[in-house]
Amino acid sequence: MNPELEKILAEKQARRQWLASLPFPEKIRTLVRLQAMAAPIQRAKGRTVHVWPLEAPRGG
Amino acid sequence: MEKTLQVLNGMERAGVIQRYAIGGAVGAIFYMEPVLTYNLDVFVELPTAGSGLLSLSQVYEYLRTQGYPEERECINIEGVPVQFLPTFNPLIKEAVAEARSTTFEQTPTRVLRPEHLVAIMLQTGRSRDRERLASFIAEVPLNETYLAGVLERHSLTAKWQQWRGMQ
Repeated sequence: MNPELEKILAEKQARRQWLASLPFPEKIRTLVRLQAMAAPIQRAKGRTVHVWPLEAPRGG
Repeated sequence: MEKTLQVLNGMERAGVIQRYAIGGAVGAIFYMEPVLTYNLDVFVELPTAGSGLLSLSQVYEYLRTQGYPEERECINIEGVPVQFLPTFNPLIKEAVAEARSTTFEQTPTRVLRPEHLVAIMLQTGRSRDRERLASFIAEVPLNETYLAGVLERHSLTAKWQQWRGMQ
């Protein structure tokens, strides 16, 4: 495999592992950000979607 | 989502549901990187009705009186569309019974074990389940002995082997 491509794939895998290791509430906050980014596309396709309320992290 | 979970815990205390556990995409997110979803799938063990039939009508009625509106197949609880799924087969029943206890911020909740999520995705078998299953098993460490037991008890071993052969 091309070393450059190998490096990119390794970095993507490392990022996935890092995201998977985050605490559950932090993952849900990431999900809500994903929902907000994808909502205009979903609505343009005629889907009714609700972006969840974003709760502030405890103590932060 | 914490307020939503507090409402679900209140439903258990009130006896509207016997036990619940998070499944679906949010259940998967507990173990893997976040994936897009707009619904919270909640599997519920319902109190036994006189007829023995599973019915969500009491759940819907209780939440209506609490001011939570129905939206198509979901109920909007504190801004989160929740889809309630009764434990309609032995696999789901076992998954809820053996769900893992955890906390979300400071609120106790339960999430299906990863091995049960795998078995449910395999059993359901929609194209999106197959896609999620591929990502899930690539990312999430599984207890192979426990998984083998689940698959055996619910007649999914052959389907699992066939699915693995296609990967």
